[in-house]
Amino acid sequence: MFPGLIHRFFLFFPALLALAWPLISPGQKYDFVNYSIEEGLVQSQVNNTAQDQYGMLWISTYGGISRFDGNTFTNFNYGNGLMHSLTSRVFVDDQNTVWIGTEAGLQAYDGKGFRTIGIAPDNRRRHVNDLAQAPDGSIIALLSGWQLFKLNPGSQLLEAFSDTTVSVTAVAADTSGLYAAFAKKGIYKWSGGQWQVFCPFTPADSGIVIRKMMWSHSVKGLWVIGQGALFSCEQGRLVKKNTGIPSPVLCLEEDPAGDLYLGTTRGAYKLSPGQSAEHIGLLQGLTDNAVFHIFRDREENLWFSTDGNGIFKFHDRSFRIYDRGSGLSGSIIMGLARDHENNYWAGSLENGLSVIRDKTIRNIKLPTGKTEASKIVCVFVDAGQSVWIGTSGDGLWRYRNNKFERVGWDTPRFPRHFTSINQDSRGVIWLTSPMTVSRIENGLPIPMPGVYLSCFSTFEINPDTLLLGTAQGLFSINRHYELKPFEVPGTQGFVIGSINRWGDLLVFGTSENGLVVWDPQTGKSYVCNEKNGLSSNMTFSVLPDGASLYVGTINGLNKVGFDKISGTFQVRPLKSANQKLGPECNQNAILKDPEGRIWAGTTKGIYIYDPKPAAPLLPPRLFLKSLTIHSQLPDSTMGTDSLAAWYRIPRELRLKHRQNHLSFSLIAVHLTAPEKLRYQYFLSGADTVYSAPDPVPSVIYPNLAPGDYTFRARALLDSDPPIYSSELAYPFSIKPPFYQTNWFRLLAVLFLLLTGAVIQKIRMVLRARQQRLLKEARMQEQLLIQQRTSEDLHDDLGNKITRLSLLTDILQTKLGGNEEQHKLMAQIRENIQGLYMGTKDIIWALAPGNNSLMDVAGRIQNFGTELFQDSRITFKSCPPDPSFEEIKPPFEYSRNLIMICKEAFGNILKHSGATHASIEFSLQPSSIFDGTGLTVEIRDNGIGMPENKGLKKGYGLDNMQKRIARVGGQIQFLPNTPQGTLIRIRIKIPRTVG
Amino acid sequence: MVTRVIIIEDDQTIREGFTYLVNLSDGLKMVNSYASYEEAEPYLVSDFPDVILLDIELPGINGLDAISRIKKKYPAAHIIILTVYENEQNIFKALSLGASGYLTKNTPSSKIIESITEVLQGGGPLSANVAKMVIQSFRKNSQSPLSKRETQILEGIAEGKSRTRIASELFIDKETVKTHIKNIYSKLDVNSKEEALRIARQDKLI
Repeated sequence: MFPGLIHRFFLFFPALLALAWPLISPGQKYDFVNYSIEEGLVQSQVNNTAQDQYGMLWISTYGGISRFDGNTFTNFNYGNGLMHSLTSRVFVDDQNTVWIGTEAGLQAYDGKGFRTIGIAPDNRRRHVNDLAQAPDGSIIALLSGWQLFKLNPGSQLLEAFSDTTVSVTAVAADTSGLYAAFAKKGIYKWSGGQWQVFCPFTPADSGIVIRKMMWSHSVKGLWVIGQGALFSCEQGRLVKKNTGIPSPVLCLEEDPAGDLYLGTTRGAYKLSPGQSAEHIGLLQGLTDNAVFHIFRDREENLWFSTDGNGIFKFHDRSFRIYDRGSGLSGSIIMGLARDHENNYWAGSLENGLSVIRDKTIRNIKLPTGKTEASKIVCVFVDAGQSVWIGTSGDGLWRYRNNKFERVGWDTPRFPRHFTSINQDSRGVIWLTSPMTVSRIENGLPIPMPGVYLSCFSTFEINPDTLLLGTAQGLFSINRHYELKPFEVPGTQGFVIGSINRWGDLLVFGTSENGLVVWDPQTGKSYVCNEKNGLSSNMTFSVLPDGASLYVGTINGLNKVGFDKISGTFQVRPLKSANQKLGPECNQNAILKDPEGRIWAGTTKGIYIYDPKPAAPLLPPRLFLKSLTIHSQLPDSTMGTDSLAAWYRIPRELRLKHRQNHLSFSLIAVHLTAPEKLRYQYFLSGADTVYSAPDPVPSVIYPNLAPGDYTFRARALLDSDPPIYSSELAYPFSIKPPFYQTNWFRLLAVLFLLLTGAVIQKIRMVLRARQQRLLKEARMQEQLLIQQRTSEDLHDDLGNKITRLSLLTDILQTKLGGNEEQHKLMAQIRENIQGLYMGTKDIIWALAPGNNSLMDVAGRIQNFGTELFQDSRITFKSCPPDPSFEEIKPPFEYSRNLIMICKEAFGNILKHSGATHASIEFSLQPSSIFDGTGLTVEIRDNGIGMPENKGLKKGYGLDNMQKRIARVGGQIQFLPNTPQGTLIRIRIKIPRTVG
Repeated sequence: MVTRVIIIEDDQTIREGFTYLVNLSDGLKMVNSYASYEEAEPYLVSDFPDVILLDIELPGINGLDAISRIKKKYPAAHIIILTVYENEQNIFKALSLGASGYLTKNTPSSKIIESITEVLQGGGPLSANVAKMVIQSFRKNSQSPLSKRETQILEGIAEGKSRTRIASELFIDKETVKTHIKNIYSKLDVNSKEEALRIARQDKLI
């Protein structure tokens, strides 16, 4: 962070010039991530970038605009809404409306569609040069013709805001106000309803055409670009800055560290305080084409909009690379060391030494000039600040006091190929070679014959023990230079390429078993390899850094942590922003610089890893991108439409029970580390916990049961520790089918009950009917029998009785006058008559249909009529009431009643001496249970009942009493008025069923 | 002049019995006897009967159906129907079809002879029960074709009074009573055929 005013920013430092080192080439390669057409960008010529409130980027190109969420591009051009594909500016206002400046005019996009803004007065086609939002919310557009236009909030028409007499060349706005650059005049501020001078041109400035103005993020000041140069506006004066940049400057942006990045017609330049401009072009990972715009997003990435190479994302915290392209001598960097002057010595296998200082590289060849001299295998800076260089075939070199000298070349049996260089606590330099190990002691090269081992590394663990890593595992060398195998579990049989101390532990990089961590006190060793997440088992370098251990493998660099108590490792492979793991790390080529950065020599140059987080990653923002029901987008019947981060998602979704196959598609916006995005979700109502983090941003829920649900999701960055987005909650409900609602259930229950009752009733009715039919059938059968019997009797008996009667008559005619015979005949006839009468009654009783009281009364009446018709007695009887028809007395009752009446009539005929007789029937209503009360009254006007009991007997009165008693009735013999007898019979006729 | 009588009766004993009794009476002659209507039919005209004793309970064509056929074939004859037991419905129906009277088979021979003679005179036997039935049927039909006198006589019969007694009570001749009864019959015949059937149906007589 640099203090105070801008002008102090630039300090030319003579140190650079004073150095003897000629400037060979500018520096390191940066870790840019490029997005162009192959990645989905709409077109490669990008001129502007903006960010919306959801965190997504809007990019304008000459072929349309793109919206980028960190992973995917959504493109718009003339074919799908834009008025013209050639766009020049994109701007997002504080209402999150996206304004697009095109070749033909201005458009606004709100997620639903593109709205073309009219331009007063004549809607003439005008190119949009610049856009800004004034503090009052209105949109200011600088259109072709150097004229400013204003779109008031709510208006659809751009109205002229500056008059045509003056040309406006640039416009900018921030919270402090709206600024416009007027040609030949200077910079004005809109204040109090008018333009007030802010930074007027001096006569010297008047030729400057200001093209861009930008407020500094960190310093109170206005950056101005005009005429391809950089100015600042300080205290009302335009001050030109000497950047030393050879190409015209087009744009600028500040990074969080305070460095300035300037886009020019030939790539970009980085200006750090107190340093000269550093070119960032093709060789540094960017482009040498024009950089039209540099945009800093809210996650503090820088986006470079280029002419023909699309857009580049950059953050200073990423990996930095030195390779051949940056000027490094070779790519295969086998040795790395740093000296006290902060020079970094890098030895390449193919092309000698490079020395890097302050991002400049100097390549040095060893004096012999031989090919082998180019094959640098190891580099080491000793405690005395000599730089030792081990080659493959050209021996050992030492650099000190600015001089190179070869060591041990002429010493017999001293090797000429070296694999590693190290120093012990006594200052002895230990050298490993493909077939032996040797040392430099007190300046003398001392070989160690008899060691027929392929040696790769040395490390002193205590003053008496130097460990030797070989192709056959570990050995130790003691004070007496005796070689003995050294047992560490996990290392046997493997090539030990690197050894180091990590706290109390020793670490070994093995060729095929990854990292072996050994606790000398317990003797226990722990293995960390691919199974633990190490990027490869072939481990070449180890570098402890506090609690972390950096491990270089064939597959890149890893950061490892170890918990001694549990014996577990935390492994994190380090990837560049381009998702590359990093190339093969070379054996022992690893160091840590004073800034804490890890330098790793690889087969593709030097990778510099900065473990310091420059700024913590911002949490991602999560939105629901789409939801489909049975793989189809929901329609308006399901819920009200709404927008969520440019995607149409229905709100208040109410689904029918069949619409229960849902899939949710999520989108998380993170521009810095989109590769780290993971998603978690759960459906409350069905699940209870978040699912495991998954890189797939969609989930399907097939076959949901009816109910109320809330779909919850969150995105996270898979970092250490993970960073979570806020939770997304989307409620919806699935209506139960009608047959599952409580109403329906209630109705169903009621219905079932009702049905049950109805069924019961029907069964009862049917059963009753069946019984009735059965009874009727039985009755019919009975009647039939009765009828048949009656008919049989009728025909058979009747005729036989008739025969008897006739024969008697005939006999009578053939008899003489014998009185006795006549008497007998009379008796016979009487009996025949009796028989006749008797059978007549039976037949009458059997005849079906004669079962109502009406029939009974009729029978009695007919009998009476017949009996009295040839006598002196007139017989009266009234037809009984028609209700008699309805009463059906049981057979007992009818029979006994008839017999009683017959008896009574007989008495009247024989004994009463009457001249009139009558019979009357009457009914008394009675209760349902009792039956019907019947009263029969037989009257005569004869002599009346005799007092004499004996005589009474002859009248069959006790018979009558018996009969009436049988049916539970009463009989009274009363005197009639004025004379004669009244016989009153009372019977309760019970109700017969059926 | 001798009254010619035929009998159609399926029981042999009864048939022979009646034949004997009829022949015993002066002025009557049983010309022929048949066991069924079918047997009698060819000889109906040639027999030239004045009175036909017709059993209702006949095999084949029953007595009631026979009445209509006889009336068609030989309308001059008077038909007296015979039943073992009185069945009022049948009797009423028979009378409406044109029978002149009825007798029960076990009626004393004297009564039989009397009835035959009566029928020739146009009267015809009317039992009290039948008379009652006639009254009731006419009562049901508001338009009674009977005159007041005839109704009185009918009522008297219904009460079981003898002709003599009715005559004396109404202060008319016995002959007049007989004539009235004759008229009743004819009225019964003409007016009551349909009536009888209808009423019989109404009263569940048929």
